[in-house]
Amino acid sequence: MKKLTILFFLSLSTVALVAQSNESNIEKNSSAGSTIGIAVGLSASTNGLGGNITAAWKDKLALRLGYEQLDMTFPNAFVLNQADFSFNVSPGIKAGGLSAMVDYYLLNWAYLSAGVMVTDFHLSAHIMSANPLTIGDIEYSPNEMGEMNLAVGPQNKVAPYVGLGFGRNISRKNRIAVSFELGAYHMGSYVVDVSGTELFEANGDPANQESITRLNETLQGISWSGIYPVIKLGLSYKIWKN
Amino acid sequence: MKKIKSVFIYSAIISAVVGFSKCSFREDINEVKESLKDFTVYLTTPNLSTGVHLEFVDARTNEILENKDVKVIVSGKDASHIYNNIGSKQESYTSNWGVLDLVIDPHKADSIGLSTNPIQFEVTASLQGYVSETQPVSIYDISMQTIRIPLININNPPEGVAFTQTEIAISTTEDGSISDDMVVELSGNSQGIAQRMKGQAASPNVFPSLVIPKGIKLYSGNQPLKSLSVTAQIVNFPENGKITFPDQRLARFDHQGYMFRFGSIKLTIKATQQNGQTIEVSRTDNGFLTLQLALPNNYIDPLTMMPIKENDIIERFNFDTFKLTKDPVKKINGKFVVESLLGRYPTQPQQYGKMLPSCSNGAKSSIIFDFDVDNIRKIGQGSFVYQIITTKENKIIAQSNTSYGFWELIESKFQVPLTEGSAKVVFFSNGKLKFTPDTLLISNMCEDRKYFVGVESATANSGKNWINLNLDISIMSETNNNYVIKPSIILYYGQQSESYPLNLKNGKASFTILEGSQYYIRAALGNSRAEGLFKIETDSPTTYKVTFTKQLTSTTGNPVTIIVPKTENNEVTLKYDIPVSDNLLGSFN
Repeated sequence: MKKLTILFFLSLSTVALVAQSNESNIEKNSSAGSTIGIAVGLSASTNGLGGNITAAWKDKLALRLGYEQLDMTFPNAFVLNQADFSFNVSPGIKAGGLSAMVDYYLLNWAYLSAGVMVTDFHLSAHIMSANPLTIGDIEYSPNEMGEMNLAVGPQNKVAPYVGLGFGRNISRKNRIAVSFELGAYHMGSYVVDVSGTELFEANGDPANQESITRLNETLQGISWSGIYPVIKLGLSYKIWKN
Repeated sequence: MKKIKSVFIYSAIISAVVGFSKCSFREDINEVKESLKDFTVYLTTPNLSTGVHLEFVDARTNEILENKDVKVIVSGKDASHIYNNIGSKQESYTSNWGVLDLVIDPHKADSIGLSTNPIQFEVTASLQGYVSETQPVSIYDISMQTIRIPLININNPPEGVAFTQTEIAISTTEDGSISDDMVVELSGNSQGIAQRMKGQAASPNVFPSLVIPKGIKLYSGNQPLKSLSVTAQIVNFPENGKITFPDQRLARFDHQGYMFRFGSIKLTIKATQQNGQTIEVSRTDNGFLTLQLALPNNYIDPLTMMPIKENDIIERFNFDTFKLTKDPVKKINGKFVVESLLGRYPTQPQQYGKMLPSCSNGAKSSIIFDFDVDNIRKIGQGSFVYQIITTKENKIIAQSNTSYGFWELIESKFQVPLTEGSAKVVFFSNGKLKFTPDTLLISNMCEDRKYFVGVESATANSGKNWINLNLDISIMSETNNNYVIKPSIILYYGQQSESYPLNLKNGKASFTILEGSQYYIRAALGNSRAEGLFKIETDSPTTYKVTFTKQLTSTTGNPVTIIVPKTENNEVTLKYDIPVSDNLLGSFN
């Protein structure tokens, strides 16, 4: 599986390289690139869909401001059976945020990217009883019983980013450019939080979160905890040059 | 060629990163799995905190009837919504420590709905050697209402209560029908033996008679009868108009209003069959009994304070039919007699008095207590009492004491009857709190008006050390620590005869206690109870010593002592884990 993943990444890199080769050929046959250029772009990544605006200086250095958003929930995605109880689990993922990046072009078709993102990263799972519960002689519906919420968020809302890109986020000579980028944010660590409503309300009490505190301490000791991988495809259109 | 070389370099970098991350990944996952092993899910119990806290006391001594099995039956319009405080419904409930918490189905505990359509039911408490007492209950808001039910010890009744008993021979047909018209006089002049029981009655000259028509059948049973034993419990009917028992003279009956009761009669009829077997008669068939109540000629109507006269109307609420009846006062053989036709269940209580109209849309006037909670906490003022004297036409018609722990008290609607009349409300505490004003005169209780009362400490520097105690209670399985129950329930605490409600929510509650004093803390769990005694004393300048002794029904545990640090806020937090068997936990499901 891991091999397939690596192969997939390499294939995408190759696609981006081939895409850029056309531009390189054009560039070879033309005069030197512009001093300043501005492009707007669209992106699709593990942070969701978004847009960006890129300002490039002398084709080597570019400042990229962008916003991406991923917000998906999967109501009652699966049933969790625990002892005599069944729970409906509704997971959700939220990612993306506002980013500011500096791209440094090592080659005309490859760049290093670094910057920060104000991340909206948030994984969640809402857990509700699948069946009514009778306590004594009184029956409580799942809604009356409330729900337990598990959440994974970032330790740091502002997360540094590094990435390696193929292609360009702003074309040197043409209007349109494509890019493929691999990178990662580091949010410090993943932070797990538990809360609840009604019959699960006590889970939100800090005094009852010893086991969560221990889990978070463990996560903070793990090197890759807080890393959020980014795979991004970009398409840009140069709107101005000088 | 150069491009291919670049691709190779970048691929190598990616592979190195992925490969490097593999080194610790598996170990890290194991570490996370290990952390998740002791992950605990906390479950709370439903907050069944709307209902009634019943306290059963001896009517003469006013002491809680502890260690006696008081049987409680719930009946009436909304009885189906009533459960014990663990949500269990039973035909009858037993209180073996003098109190019982009944709650309403949480689906019905809606504040708006309750204010316009209160939950109404009756509780009947019975105890061997005591007279059964039926008390109507109305729940208007989301709270635990405390109702004290005095039970009359037959051999030691309070002032204003008397018993009279007559045994009489009767003849019936084979199927048990009474052969001839007859009158059972409980005045001592009957053909049988009349016996006046103990009790310094305020009504020594009030005597009931029971008129039994020919052909009536006395159930239970179809056997021929040879004798009857009739006992009448007579309460009040004061000749001087001063009622001595019970304290609260108004009771709400269904939607009809409040009854100012100045007397009641409850009959007990036992029949001996030809075969010698004794049965208790609970109902009649093929006719009705008539109760004639002879009043003395100088009898004063407690409501009007005027001597009674012929053709006066006395209202009677019949617990058999739950209807109000208007009985005329007749003059028979020179005496004033109130004649009451009984229903099919003649042994149900008959309450005499006058029905007063209630506010048409439920309780209106309310008192808002304004106080500095922190200040009162610091000095440890636990609770206070307010007394409400309800008056109508300048006559006292109801008087009640209501006790509150200050934790719950922000706004309180009257728990006493609100009639179309005035009220005088007097606030007092055990010398700890000062009320401004300390007396309220409310001209019209049905007026939608709020009255503000300030509460402050009367003894700001009492010189005593009051400690803020935080309780944190958990119930967990003996074998599985992954699930913990944090109970939500009403507890009661106090010193000796004091009893303050404590709302334990999600296993937590806070209250204030006096250093060096022993307190009890109790929880009613259905028909059983859990109890503990605790005391907090200074151990050193920086620590407290907490002593706790667990008491379960009929057993007392060994005292457990722990040392806890003193904090800046003078708070002590006690975490108490109660391990229970998996079978018990499973019984909740």
